Amino acid sequence: MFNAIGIWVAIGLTICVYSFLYKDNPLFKFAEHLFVGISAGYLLAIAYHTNFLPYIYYPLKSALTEGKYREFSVLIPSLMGLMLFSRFVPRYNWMVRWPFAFLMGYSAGVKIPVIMQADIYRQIQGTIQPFGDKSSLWAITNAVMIMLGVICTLIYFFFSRERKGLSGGLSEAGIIFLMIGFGASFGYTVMARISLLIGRVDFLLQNIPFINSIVSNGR
Amino acid sequence: MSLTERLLNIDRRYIYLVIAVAVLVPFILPFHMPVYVSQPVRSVYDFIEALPEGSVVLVGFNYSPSTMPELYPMSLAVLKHCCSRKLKIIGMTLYSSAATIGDTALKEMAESCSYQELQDYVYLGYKPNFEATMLGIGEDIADPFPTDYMNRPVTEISMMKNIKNYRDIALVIDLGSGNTPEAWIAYAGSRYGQKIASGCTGVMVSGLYPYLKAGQLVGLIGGLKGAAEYEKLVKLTGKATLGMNAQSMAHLAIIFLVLLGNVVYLISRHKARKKVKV
Repeated sequence: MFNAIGIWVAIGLTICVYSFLYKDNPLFKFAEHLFVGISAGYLLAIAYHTNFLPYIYYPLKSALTEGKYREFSVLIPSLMGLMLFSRFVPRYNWMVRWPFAFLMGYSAGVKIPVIMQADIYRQIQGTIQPFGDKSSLWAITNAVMIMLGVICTLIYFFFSRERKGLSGGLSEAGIIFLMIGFGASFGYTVMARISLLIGRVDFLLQNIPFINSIVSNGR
Repeated sequence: MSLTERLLNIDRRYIYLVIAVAVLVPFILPFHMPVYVSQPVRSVYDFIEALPEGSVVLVGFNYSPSTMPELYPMSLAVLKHCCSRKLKIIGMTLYSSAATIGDTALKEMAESCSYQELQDYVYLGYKPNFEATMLGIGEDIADPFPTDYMNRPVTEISMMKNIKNYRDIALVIDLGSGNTPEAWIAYAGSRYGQKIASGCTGVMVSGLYPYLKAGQLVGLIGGLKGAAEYEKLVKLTGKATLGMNAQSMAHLAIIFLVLLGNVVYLISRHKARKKVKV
């Protein structure tokens, strides 16, 4: 019973959202606002159950009731978290600097070494790897294309030199590589969006009883 | 107004209608378009195929319901392959909205191949903060996940007895719609040398190819097409295979509209130049 109600609500909301394709209308607005409200409520509930309870409430409870005094240490990050809200009180907004300083220091320490390794060293290595380890002429051609693409694109983004002569030609080639890259990305994006439409259409066809029988006969 | 002018100023709703018809027709009058398996998808399949029985695979269900049409069929195909190879599966998510998706996918897989929860697979549920979780698994998986999805202590789960960190995990498969593949590559791949495969939405594929080329991913399953390819490899006729018919029809319609738009534009430009000369 509840499952059927859920399905009909989903069908109704899907139609409300797709009605925007015709033109903006109150049904779409209703679905939009409902989605924003439910998302906010859901995330708040998730944050309460997955962050507040296990990382603040239970440790403090065990510190108070079971004598695990070490658990009082959660008060430090909790206070730092609360200090972020001092931004809203002009008189005390200087307090926000401390947690931000901690967050920036933590993020820089954790992220910079691994990002350098994963996104810079390994990517450069992947670009300039020798052709000798390639198994076929096609693989060598691909490796040469990647290297040329990277060099030409980098030259296109090198703005300290006037684009003429060899650098002008290479930067023109860089534009072509960029356009091919954007085209590929756009093609994949179209594919992804159509996939989402297919998912919704499939859902509607499967769950609206009258249409379902037509589709089932077709299959 | 001439025909070319009318076509250039066509109401966009007619285009939506064409796409809607292109997507609907294959559902009502089904046919089967061939699906060819690409190398990045085959690489994931081959890697899993080569794993010895009992190896541990960590599957991250890092996508929200909005991308389920692409990633859920992919999840089922990958899980089906893992269970056909008798691999141990650890499921988890770093997306709050995916907590129930992972649970549903694992249960669906378990039903189809008689997998027992806590013996053959474990679902750890959701954990916030990508970096801390990924780095935490590198030390001891019980640190970021002291309990599983149903609040059972991880250290008391029989399957988890000999699984402590990445050293005990043969492959991490990230099924994601955000920036989790890059995070796995950085925190688990670079730091701990963990093998990683990615199943992602179509939008993300071009951004992940550099990692594939650099050997930071063992393979890549991209979008509904990738999911259909994987379904073909594991001999499963799932939603991705069925959806590819509609996908192909929609693509044909879009190619036709792009070509039509360009041809009409060129004709109108030619006419305008002729008028200026006159």
